[in-house]
Amino acid sequence: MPIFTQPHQVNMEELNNLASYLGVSSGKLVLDAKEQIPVLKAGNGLTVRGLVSVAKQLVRQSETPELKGTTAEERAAIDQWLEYRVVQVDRSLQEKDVSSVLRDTNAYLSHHVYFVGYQPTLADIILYLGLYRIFEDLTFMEKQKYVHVCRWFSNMQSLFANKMSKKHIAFQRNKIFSGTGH
Amino acid sequence: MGFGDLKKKEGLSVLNAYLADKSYIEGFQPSQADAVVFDALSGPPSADLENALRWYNHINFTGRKKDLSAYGPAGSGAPAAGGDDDDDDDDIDLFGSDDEDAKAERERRLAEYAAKKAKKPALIAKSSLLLDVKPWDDETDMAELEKCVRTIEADGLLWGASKLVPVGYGIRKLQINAVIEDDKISTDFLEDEITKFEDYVQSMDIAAFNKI
Repeated sequence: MPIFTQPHQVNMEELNNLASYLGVSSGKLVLDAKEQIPVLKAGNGLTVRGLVSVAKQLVRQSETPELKGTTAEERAAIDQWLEYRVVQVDRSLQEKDVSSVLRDTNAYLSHHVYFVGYQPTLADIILYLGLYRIFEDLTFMEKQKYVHVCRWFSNMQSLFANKMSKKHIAFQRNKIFSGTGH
Repeated sequence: MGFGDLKKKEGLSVLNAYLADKSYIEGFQPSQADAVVFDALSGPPSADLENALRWYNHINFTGRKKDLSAYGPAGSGAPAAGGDDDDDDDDIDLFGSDDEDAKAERERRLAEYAAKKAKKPALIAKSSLLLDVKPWDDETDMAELEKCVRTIEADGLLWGASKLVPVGYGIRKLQINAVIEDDKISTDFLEDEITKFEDYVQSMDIAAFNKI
């Protein structure tokens, strides 16, 4: 089991991945040593702090600003999921308890294809990046338990993994493990 | 292949099992496959077939091929009902289809989509395949083998460049490109036709399959 690297270092890497996927330059992205959060100095004197804000700023600068939501409800829903990522997912990694996160997302995704609306949005991207670390360490049997998150994750990585220089995680549907009665 | 009769429970169960680990019928984006299967259903699947129902609601909004203006008030009841259920179950889902603005926007988007689809006939879904054809041994005449493969003709099939790739012990396999129209040619058909040349061909694989 790999030791989890410090969350703020991983966040920096994620933001760089996001920037390269969006085709924008991550410009002056630095780590604020005191507060341990990423800080982006986007041109015209604007300073943005924190994973979620920086991610949204990068999307704003890209050619696909709709990724952060086109309607007010979409934006609100996306913001909620971004917050979920920071509060629940990253904390679960610290506490080594990922099962509640997996359970919640699995339940939600059982009747949704994407987290918000009918297309991948920033919420999906940030959750994909956040859950990546969890998924790296799951066994096939565990993945089988959370079918819906795996389906969503597999969908996400086909869309994003290559452009974000992330390795593909393998999924396998094995009838021996099926306890969920499909 | 096939789901069976999708108007019956058995067919829907097969579809449900199939969609457990897939968001779409084929690949990772809505495609003709989703529209075709969608049209084969007589209505939304029951709630116990959760994967099929999820897929149905999703495609209902994004992937319909039919003329959506023909889909009157009775039809728009179905996605709204799905939205309401989600609202009840799950606080996080704010994307309800209740209020006026959302409905008006949806109608507008549906109309745009229908207009786009109406212009679509010009685009045909094509894919580029790379096939590996393996001979029996190193003495098989690869030029003959290639000629035989190229004699396979069908509407929507175009052969491309080919090359011979050594695989060891002097045996070489034929790697040949083909561009196919998804609707007309299936990989099973190609496999059957190629393996018919039993004198030359031991087996065939699809090395790569890319949508164009």
